[in-house]
Amino acid sequence: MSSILRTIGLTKVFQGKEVVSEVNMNVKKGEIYGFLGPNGAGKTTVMKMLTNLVKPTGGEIEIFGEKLTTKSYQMLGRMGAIIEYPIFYDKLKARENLEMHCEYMGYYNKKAVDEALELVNLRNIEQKPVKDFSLGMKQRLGIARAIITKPELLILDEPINGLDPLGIKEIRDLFKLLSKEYGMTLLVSSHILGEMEQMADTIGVINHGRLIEEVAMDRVRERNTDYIELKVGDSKKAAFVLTNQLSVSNFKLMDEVTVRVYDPQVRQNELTKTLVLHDVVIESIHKKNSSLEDYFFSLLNGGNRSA
Amino acid sequence: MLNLIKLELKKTKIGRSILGGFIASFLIMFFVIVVNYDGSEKPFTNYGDVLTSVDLFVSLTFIIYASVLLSKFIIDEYKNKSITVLFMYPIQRKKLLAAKIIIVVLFTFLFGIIGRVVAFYGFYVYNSFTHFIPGELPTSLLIEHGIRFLVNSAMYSCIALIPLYFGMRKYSVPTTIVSSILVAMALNANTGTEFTLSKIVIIPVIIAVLGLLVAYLAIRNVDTKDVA
Repeated sequence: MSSILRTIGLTKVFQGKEVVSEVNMNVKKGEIYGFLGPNGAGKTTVMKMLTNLVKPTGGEIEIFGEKLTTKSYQMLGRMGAIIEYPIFYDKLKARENLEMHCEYMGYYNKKAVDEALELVNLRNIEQKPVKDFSLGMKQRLGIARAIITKPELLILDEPINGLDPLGIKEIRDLFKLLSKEYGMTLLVSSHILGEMEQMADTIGVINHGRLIEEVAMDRVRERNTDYIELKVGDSKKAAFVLTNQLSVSNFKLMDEVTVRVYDPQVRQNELTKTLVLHDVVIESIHKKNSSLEDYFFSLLNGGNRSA
Repeated sequence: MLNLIKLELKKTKIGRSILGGFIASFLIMFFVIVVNYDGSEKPFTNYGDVLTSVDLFVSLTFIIYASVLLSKFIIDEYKNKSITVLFMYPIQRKKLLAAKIIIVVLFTFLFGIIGRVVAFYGFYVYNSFTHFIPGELPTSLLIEHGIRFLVNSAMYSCIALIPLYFGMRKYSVPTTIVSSILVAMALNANTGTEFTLSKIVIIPVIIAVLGLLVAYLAIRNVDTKDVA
């Protein structure tokens, strides 16, 4: 897959403080790229630079194979975005906002407004001006506005903020649909790990303005190993049994009483039986899974230490 | 550009502003009529006085009115951050801002003329019944002031852009409106004598040029400036 968006050494300095440093991102065509990071990590600033609202202090941005300059207006017509939070002309009604958006974008398709409202499942909003909308409704309307012209690249900053769990699922399904059916590329930022895990193809982790890691979700899943955690009377004795009786070498002594067995071949009942037979007291035994969350926190903590 | 202007007008619901412009014009008319009922001393002894007063009132009123429009079309967009939406369109930012400034200048210019015509003509018709000012209206006077009305309307619609400079510094609506009042006062305040700054022809001309400069400055850096 070729890349649709690339940044090379992207840097932004605000009043002497580097808020984004040397970010090298690579978003492939057609994928959902999850941009993950805690609040204040620099996600929004990066997205503002991608949409030309904020100018980089250093580095380059390449979108659709072209370099983004201060005069790259045409490119913006092929993108849809929500930056920071959805902003509208809030005295106007939802439909008026969308129609106006189409006119500014130079997109003339009478059905587009209805289609977009349908896709984000916004109904019964005809009479209300946008200022009376809840955050969740604004978020939906913002997504509708971003996708109405069927852009090639969607840049969405925290799009699931303010949505209820059902809404989050709807929007997640919508994103997958946009990516699969319409072939759009999505760059979605969030600080909610579970969401990213469920929809992203690639994850970029940013903290303190630095892109710490950029990795395909498939590889994260591979890396996330299951293990069996044992609480025993004496972990050294357990280790001895594991090595000599079960020929397991892939395990780790966590402390005096905790052992983690990573070997996927070892079955739980076999393990218990053998240990008990050799007089190892078992307090508890659990099968555990280290999720994206563990992986993410380890990355962020690593980032903190080096900062 | 015409399309951009149309979209701007649609977005801000210009209808109300137009209504406001007419209301202001009629209020000025009302004012130049009512002052004639104030005691023994007549405020106007001839048509020239009336025309000069109308000119002054309309200029002041619409400098301030223009600052309200500047707030509505430009300052508010920055303040509400809806400018970020606007600047993500595949349209040159300079054009987007120019469309807004053109609307304000044209509006102020047109209502400068409408206001002057409404206020003076209203007085003229009323006077034909009450004869505050006796005698005919000399055509030469009408032509002289007609030209002055046109020139002043054009000049003041440029002067009206000055508050944009102050308003854009912190994207503040009150700053914009207060600075328009200050500009209006500075030009036309008198110190008990007949002297005002606007009577020295070169001064309003310089300020009008300054107004255009302010508009240019507001547009010039828009491509390279961060929209926070």
